[in-house]
Amino acid sequence: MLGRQEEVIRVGVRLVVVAAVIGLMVLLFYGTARSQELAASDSPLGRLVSPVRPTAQERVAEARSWIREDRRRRLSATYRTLIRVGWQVAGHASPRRLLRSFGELGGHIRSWRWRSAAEDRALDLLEAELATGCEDPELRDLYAHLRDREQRERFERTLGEVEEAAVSGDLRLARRRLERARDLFPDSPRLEAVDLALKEQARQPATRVPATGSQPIRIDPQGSRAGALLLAAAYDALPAAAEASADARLAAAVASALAGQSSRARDQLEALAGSVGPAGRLARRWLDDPPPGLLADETSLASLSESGSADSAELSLRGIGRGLAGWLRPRQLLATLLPAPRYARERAALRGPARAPAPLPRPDSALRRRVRGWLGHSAGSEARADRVWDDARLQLPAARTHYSRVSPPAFLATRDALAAVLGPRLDSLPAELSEARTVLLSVVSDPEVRVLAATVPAPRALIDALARGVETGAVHAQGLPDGEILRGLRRLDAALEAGATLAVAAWQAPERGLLSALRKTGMSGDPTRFRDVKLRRRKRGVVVSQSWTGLPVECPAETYCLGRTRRFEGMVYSRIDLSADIRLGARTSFHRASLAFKIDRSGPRASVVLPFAAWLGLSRWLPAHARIDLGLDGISFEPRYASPL
Amino acid sequence: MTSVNRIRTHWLPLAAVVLTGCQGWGSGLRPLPAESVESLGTSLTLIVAELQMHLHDDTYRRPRAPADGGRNVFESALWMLDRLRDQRVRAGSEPENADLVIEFARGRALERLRRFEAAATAFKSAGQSGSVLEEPAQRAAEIMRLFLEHGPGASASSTTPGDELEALLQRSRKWQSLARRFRATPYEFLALEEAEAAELLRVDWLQRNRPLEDAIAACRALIERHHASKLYERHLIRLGDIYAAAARRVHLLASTRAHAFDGDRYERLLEQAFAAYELAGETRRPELRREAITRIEALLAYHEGTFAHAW
Repeated sequence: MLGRQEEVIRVGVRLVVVAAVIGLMVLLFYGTARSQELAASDSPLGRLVSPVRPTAQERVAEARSWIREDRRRRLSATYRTLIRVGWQVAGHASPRRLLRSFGELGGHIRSWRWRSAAEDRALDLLEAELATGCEDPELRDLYAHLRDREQRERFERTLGEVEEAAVSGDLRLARRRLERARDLFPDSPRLEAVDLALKEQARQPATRVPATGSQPIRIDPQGSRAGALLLAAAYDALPAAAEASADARLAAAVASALAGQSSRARDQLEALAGSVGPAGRLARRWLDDPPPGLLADETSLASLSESGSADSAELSLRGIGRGLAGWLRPRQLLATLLPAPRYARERAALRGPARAPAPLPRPDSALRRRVRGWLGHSAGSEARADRVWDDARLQLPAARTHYSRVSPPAFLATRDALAAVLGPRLDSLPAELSEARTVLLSVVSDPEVRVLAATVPAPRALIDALARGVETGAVHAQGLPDGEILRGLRRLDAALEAGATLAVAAWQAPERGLLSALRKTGMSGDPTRFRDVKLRRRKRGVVVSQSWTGLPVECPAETYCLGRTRRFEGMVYSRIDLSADIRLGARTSFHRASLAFKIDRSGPRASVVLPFAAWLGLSRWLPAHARIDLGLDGISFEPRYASPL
Repeated sequence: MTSVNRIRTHWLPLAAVVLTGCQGWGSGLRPLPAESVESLGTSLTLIVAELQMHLHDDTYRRPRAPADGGRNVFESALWMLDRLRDQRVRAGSEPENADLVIEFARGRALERLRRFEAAATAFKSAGQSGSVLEEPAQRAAEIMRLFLEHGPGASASSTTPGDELEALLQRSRKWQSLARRFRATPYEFLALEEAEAAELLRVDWLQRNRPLEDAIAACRALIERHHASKLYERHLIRLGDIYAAAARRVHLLASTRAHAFDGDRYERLLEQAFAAYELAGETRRPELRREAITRIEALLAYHEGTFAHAW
């Protein structure tokens, strides 16, 4: 018993020592980790609005820093991949994952010497100075070195294009690309070898391709008469004798079709379809994919649909059959299904701003071609296109492409965040702002736009206070590094300096019903809000949580949401998954360490996550955290691979 | 029964049956006859029949129908008729009715290819005979003469850029009026195509010689007026190109310190460019969709690299 007590004491002492060491490290290195996040190089956009033109030395320094940063980024990416490979090997990950990670690692190593976008930017930066006639030797040397690398890359790429063209048989293109490569590096020994290879390939006999149209064109005995009658549109005069040649019978079928006798034309083409030669080929092609000239005449069908009801039913069935066979356009098909007066109305309605062009024929099944041709006139494409037309004027819809915004972003700040940065000065804000739960700050640059929202007495002072709050850690944005928030605030400040107006307004999240919120998160996977509760779809269930950070659950697009940084942040949550397992829990965090309790079918469980790599400022190089789990089955400790912060 | 045996005995035969059925279904609804080793060459009757079948096609709203070999039916017919004509000249044949048919058919093919001058010449040759084609040829020649009055060479020489722009506008209006005059005939489609071409030239002229805002307005008007055209998506891509060029210009002026950087304007233009490309990318035609996607990616790459081209 005494031995057991000694063991417990020994374990306890170790735990205390470990906690003390960790606490000491946090105190010593927290500043380093913090400064890593805040250290953000000046946005190049800042230079765009800067009035001062840099000197040659500054440009060289900037260019070198970009290249260094790029090299560091590649090194850290390689190192992270190596660490991940190590974790996966140690954790017996699946072979597929291992292979993928090894492939990534190989890619990083292979591309180490490759050029990057940073070199292109550096080249542009230096070229701009050289264009003014700068003689600085350091700038010239660096430019020459980067330019040489660019030329070599182009040379390799051009030689690759030569090979591709040669393989595909396009020797003309291969020669042109070879000449281009010669312009880049005339003395390269590889050019001679490639040149010899191309000459050798040119000497090989080309694959014989039967020349198109090498046979003389016949003038058949009835050719000129039938041709003249067709061209003169004298369709009725064309002979339709069964014993005529295939060509003449095809001409008769065309005449029938153009005279509006589609059934007769179809029968004639059916009879021809079995024959050999170009006439049979053409007949088969037109039967499979009827050209517009073969489509039924509207007048004849409209008159047919006005006959008695019994005939109408039979005609309707025939019409459906014809429609499916691709002989009718949808409007004609509609005509056979509806009574004549309605048909006239529907025909007028169909003649809208039709936008769907007929799809080009593709070499696939005949039935699919027919159906596609039928659907080509369906309302779907028209409805899709109709949304861009407003009273016959083109209204381009909002773009879906995501790109980094140039204009200053908007900021949402909670009342607590404003109180944290402004202190007593919060009362100087208009009442509707100082009492609002969340406040929206945005820039209005158009002076003609009436600013309906309130404005603050010293907008730049407010921005300055927010920036200081981010730097000191008093406020933060969830999921975003502080450097990015500061960049946004800097852009906002620059816009105000340029004469824009800061609009400040109380903001309230749009109300949504519970079913609507569940539907949104279920379909899109995006977190949604129902009152003060956040709903999020996970892989196998839905998580319902309420946090104590005060940040809005749904942060609008292109907006940074700021909340007060609390020493302790926490949330309560419940999770319902597809196997009807319910889990309730609470989580709190302190300087990115987190403590969580949860209860589910397997009983209560507690876990502690210690992001020691982030505390030490090593997260870019050692993306790991320690996790301690305590449950009914015992206590466990393991380091885990974490995504780099 | 093990799962492997179950697969062998149940699912494989079923899959074979289904695949065979699909193949039979997909290969078309009629069996193809065996062709002879030497296939028969084409004839004048076939050329004319195929040409006549497509003479009423709406070439304004739809691309010209393709023929074998990748060309459209009119180009293919014209090529074969030219070959036939040369063949007869080489053989020293006496002029006969077939030559009139060849000339008239050439005229129709040239007319559909919008080569009105050559078509007028061909119709004039075919209209000099006493055959059944005389009257149609004379009528067609008259229409071609009317079309030539509004063609590119018909307008008076422009001395100033303003004259040139005005000439293009007038040309477009005249073709629009011709389209109304020939409504419900195949000539309507040709006139609409010409009107569209004149407006397109106008947009191009404005792009090269005036501020891009004018080109943008002209391109939007072109799209609104010709929204039913087969070139609708191409016009959208062109509109996107103009917006993108305008955005690049904003950045260029800022980077050369000619103007302060107007971020809002830059973003507005960029947004419109992306919107135009995305709209064009909704087409079913794969080549246009690829082109739109490529344009979007190129513009994105430019935008992401924009900040580095500050100086």
